[in-house]
Amino acid sequence: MATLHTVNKNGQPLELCLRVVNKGDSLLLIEDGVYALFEVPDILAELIKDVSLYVLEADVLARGVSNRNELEIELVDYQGFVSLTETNEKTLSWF
Amino acid sequence: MNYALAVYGATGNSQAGQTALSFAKAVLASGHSISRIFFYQDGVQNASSLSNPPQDEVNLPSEWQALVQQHGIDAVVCIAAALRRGIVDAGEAERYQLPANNLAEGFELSGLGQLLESLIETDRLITFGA
Amino acid sequence: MSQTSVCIISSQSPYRGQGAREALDAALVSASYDLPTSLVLMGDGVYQLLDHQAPDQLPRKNLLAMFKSLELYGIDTVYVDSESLAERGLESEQLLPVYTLLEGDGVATFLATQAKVLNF
Repeated sequence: MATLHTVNKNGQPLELCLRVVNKGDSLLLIEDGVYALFEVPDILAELIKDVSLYVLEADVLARGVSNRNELEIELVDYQGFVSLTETNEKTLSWF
Repeated sequence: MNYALAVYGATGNSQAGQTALSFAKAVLASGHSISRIFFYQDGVQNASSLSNPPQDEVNLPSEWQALVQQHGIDAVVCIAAALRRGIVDAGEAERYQLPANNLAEGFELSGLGQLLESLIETDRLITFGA
Repeated sequence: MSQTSVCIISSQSPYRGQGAREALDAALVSASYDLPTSLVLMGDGVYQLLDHQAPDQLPRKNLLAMFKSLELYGIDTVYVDSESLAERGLESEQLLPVYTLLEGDGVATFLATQAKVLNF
């Protein structure tokens, strides 16, 4: 069952998400979760091989993180967030 | 599709309410319906009628109120979580002889069963954690 | 309600705020609707099952007492993520023996099968 995971901060929420994410799932970084672009780029670079990775545009722009998105992770707006919840049968929120 | 949202964060130490509100607007703009928004844990603060931030800041409870009334969305606040955190309607204020009530119009207090019902009966339940 | 099963994930430590208690409440309500309900403890959530808790010291209600009666309420299974135990230097003998250990990627495999999940 394809799952969308949202992660709203690093530390435990990201760690637990990484433990349960399956190949073919999608992962959307929201809120303070977007700081993962600064804090754990190596993990994200590894993850993006098996998982569709997204960051929420408003949170990226609000925090001034945009210029560090060198991993070619796709930015989505809230409509894009909604689309991800449509295409994935369930959403697991890690917070 | 029919959506339900669960909101667990308060404005003071979480972005959950703000993110959920923006998400809710996008759900409706995408042509989906939202049958219920369930406020639990610290998320119950989103329903306070006494929230009164400075003019140039967003008043989330007012924003929620406008959204749920305009779209006829069931806005349910978990009664046990609300009583723990000082969010009460007139009925509960009377029952427990409290000096005031502060549940904003458009919200109702109810049990956790409403969250489980939404989880089972809607196509998508999206949670916004603290 | 239909006979869909519900999975509750609880990853908060027991006494910092109400998160753990309120996750457990959600599991109990689910079971009270006769929905097949499982509870997954992972991350700091595994601390909820540590034996010999004395929360009357705070004072707070004893969560462990609720765990002891979960079966009565109809919670089918409590799963504990073994990796979360290992990360915290915990041995499974230190926990109240009311759970099933999920080893390796057991949690990932289990959650992938669950359609209705509440995460706390």
